[in-house]
Amino acid sequence: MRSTPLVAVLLAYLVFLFLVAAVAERFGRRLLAPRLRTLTYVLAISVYCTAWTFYGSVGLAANRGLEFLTIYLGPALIALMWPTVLRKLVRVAKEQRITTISDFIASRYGKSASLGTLVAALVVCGMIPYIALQLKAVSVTFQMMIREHSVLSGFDPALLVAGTLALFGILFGARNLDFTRQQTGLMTAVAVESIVKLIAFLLVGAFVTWGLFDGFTALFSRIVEHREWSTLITLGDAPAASYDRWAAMLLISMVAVMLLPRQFHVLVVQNPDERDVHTAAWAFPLYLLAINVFVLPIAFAGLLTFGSQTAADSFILALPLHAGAELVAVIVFLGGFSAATAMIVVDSLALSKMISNDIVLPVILRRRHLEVYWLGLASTRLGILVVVTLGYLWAHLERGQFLLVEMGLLSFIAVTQCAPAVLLGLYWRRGNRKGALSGISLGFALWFYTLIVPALVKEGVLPVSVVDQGPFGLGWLRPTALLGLDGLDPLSHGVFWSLFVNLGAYLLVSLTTTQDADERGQAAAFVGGAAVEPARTPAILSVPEMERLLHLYVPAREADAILHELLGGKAPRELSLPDLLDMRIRLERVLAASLGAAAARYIIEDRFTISKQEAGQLVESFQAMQRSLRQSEQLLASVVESVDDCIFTTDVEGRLITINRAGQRLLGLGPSAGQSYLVVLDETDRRRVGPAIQRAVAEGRPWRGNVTGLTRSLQQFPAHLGIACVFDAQRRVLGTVGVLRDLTEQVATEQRLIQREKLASLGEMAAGVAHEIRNPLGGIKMATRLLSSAEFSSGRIPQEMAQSVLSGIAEIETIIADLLDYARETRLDRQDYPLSLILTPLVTAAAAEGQSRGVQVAATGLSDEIIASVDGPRLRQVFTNVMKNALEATERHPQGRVAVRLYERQATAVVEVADNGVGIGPEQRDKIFLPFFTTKPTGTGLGMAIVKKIMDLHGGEIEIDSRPGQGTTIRLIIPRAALPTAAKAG
Amino acid sequence: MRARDLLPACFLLFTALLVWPLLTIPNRAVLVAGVPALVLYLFAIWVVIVAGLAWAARRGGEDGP
Repeated sequence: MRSTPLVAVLLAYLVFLFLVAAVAERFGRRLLAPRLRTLTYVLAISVYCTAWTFYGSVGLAANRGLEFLTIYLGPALIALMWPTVLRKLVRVAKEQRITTISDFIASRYGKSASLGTLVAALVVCGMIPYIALQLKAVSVTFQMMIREHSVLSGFDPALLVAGTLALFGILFGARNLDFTRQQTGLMTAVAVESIVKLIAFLLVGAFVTWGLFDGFTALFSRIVEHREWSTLITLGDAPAASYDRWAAMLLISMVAVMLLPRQFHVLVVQNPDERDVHTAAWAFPLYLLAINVFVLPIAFAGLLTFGSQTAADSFILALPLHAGAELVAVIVFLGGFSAATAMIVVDSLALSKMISNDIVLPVILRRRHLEVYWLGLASTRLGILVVVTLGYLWAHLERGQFLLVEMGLLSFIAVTQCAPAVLLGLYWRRGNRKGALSGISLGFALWFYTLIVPALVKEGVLPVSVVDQGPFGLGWLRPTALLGLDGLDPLSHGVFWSLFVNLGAYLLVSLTTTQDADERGQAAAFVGGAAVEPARTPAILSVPEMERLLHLYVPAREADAILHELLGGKAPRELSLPDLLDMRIRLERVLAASLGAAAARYIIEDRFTISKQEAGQLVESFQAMQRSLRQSEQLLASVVESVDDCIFTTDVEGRLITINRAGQRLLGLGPSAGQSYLVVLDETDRRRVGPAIQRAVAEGRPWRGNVTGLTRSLQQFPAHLGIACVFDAQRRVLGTVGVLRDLTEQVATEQRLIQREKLASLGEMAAGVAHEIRNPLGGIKMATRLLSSAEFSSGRIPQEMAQSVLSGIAEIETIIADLLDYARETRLDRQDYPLSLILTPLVTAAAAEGQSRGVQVAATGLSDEIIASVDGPRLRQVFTNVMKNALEATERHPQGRVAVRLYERQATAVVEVADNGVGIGPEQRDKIFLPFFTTKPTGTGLGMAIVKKIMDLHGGEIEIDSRPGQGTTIRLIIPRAALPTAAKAG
Repeated sequence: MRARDLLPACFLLFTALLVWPLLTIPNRAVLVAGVPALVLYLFAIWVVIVAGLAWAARRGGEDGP
């Protein structure tokens, strides 16, 4: 075939792959129905079938018979355990955001960075030759296709392919650091490649079996009859595999199908749904079955056609080329190419992640670079290039051709060394880091010694004597017969020793050493079952701290989205401590998805690194704070408990939370009743003040007022209630504090005082009445005695005496009338009067009388417009009494003056009567309104008492300004309106 | 009993069928129905495994995860 069209086909296929991936990446998440997604998953797992399967199976079958089937029967067998083992592996990996097999082991054993680095380094070393094998297959088959005479016969497409695939991996695999995200484009492309290689294989198989030969039976019959090749259809006789080699290969393929880096990536990390494992468990073995149906027929057809086993690896391509079927050959070439490219892309991606997370990142973190995300992404992308380049270089080593073919199997065995740590780690809680470290190190060491060393001998790198006589002539150290174990073929010998020592060391060391707290926690998380108590309290990050961390390690846009998801719709303020702890754990997992478990742990723990001394100081100051808080709390509590008032607290709904002891006694309630605080009020007050209190609390205001309290036994008592709101830092009402003071005794005391005052004034009044009446009675008594004596027999004297008796009686009658007048219940007959109408005649009369006594009476402001609703006759009596007192106070004064003034003050009318008379001393001022109190020689002492009574009835007030010897001013302040409506009218 | 619980037992059974000594039984250089006996045996087991797992997946689907 001409090379140019072939290169074009090859390029077109690569472009097609990019397109598939790009379209799937862009639209896949929306377009892929669950069923299609499951199908993609199953097909992507078939990345297991590489160029090694495509070409190598036929070669192996032609050389060693049925042995190749173990590589596919093993996965079919272990698929029976997938619903249990793989499903658990997938679940744990998803929970812990595991991205690679080395990450899994590091995470399971306490997020150990050293273990991760060890596994990553060993696995990467084991896998590079495998990638080289794929590139070599591409080169070899390309050369076969174009034959020797082409212009491009010197052209090796491997470099082009390697570069293109690295680019593909970077574009669709390492788009970002989080490998747990669905890499839809990559997965779809790999799935499409699985279809291409299957179709190609089935097509060429059918073409060879029925096109070139007469079906299965014809092919098999000819082989059975062949003297040399008839052994190829049985086991046990060389060159066919021995039973132990058969069993060893079954074992390693069982493990490899799950733990090879590319398998772990598509099977576990990129698993779209845990339940898809069940579909994969039957669909994947079915795929393997289909792709293997024609291996034996093609191998046998090759043997029969070419008569030799030497070029058996390329039978599948050589047969159609030999038959001149160029189209079939091109399809086969594409099938092999797709198998190789899919493997290279996924494997380099998985390996680059290991390199980045487990080898590069620990160094970056230790040096405290801050641009961890970008360095991580760069190292992942660079890692792809490095892996592919190393593969390319390995493929082009002059030596290593034997090793290249053997490496397929040796890579399988290398990765099998992870099996005890991974699989037992899922089910055995006691498996620990030291066990895993020793198991894996010893396993890899023995793998190298028993398998790689003999291979290097075959390559001529090491002298043959190492295998034949043992290193330094020590026979018991021979790599293929260690300790004299020489009954096994080299492969099963290596598998046995490496796995035996690996498993033994893992179990023994795990059983004899202990786990630290990290390991115990992770072991519990991976194995499941009862949770262990965390040995130390994980540090809690505040939300801003987490935000800062995220922004440090994740691009800003994603950081915000992740934080939002972590918060789960809650506001940072609403988060409780457990919420924060949970967030911290999930944050660590999010970081682990990008940076690996060990790095994520390092980053989070590092934020809290404080020295022992600092920790000690922190603890001390915290304890001191706690002590002083406790003291002040105790002080406050004793104050609250010692007061006699009822002190209670309520929540924002008004439900009682606490009541102090005095309150419990007073109300007869329990320590905290949980009911509304309104229970302390009686029924009427609940309706009266309840709404006002609730309004005040809602507005955050305090409320206080007199209420009627109610005990639990329904006894009422007078009380004063004060309620104040308690606020949090944001001024939101948290609840209230109430103080209920029992006023029973205070009210009783007040009533007793009033009673006593009443009695006292009654007594004084009685004394005054007695005193007033005794004077006229004395006169009457004397006149009556004179009348009864014999000396007064003439008519004139008795008449005078009778007059004296009568005037005494009249005086008593006046006193009694005044007393009655004062004591009588009085009703006002109010009308709107201009006050001047009452005042003017009184002033005129007073002026006349003042003239006779030498007192000048003057009036001002007697305007008709000052109108008040008053009882005119009674008010006249008030004015009369006041003016009479003023005249009497000034009559001895050489220039006695009485000034009457009428004026308005706000809603009142004021009648002011000022004199410059004798004045009243302060000690007498309080008594002048008492009945029968008088400073004058004449008068009953009821005048001012009556003034007071009438003014009270009017709702008025009396102001007295007085200084002894300088005069008195009395202001009678009369409300102008009896009713508010009248005030408006006026 | 759920189909899935049978699978580990099947795993042990089929593993036994695929290694020495049981494997010696079909290991003969004869053709059965035109196909080598061992090849027929291995592919038959393979088909049974696929069928059994497909059945278990269906049953498992009904039982829920």
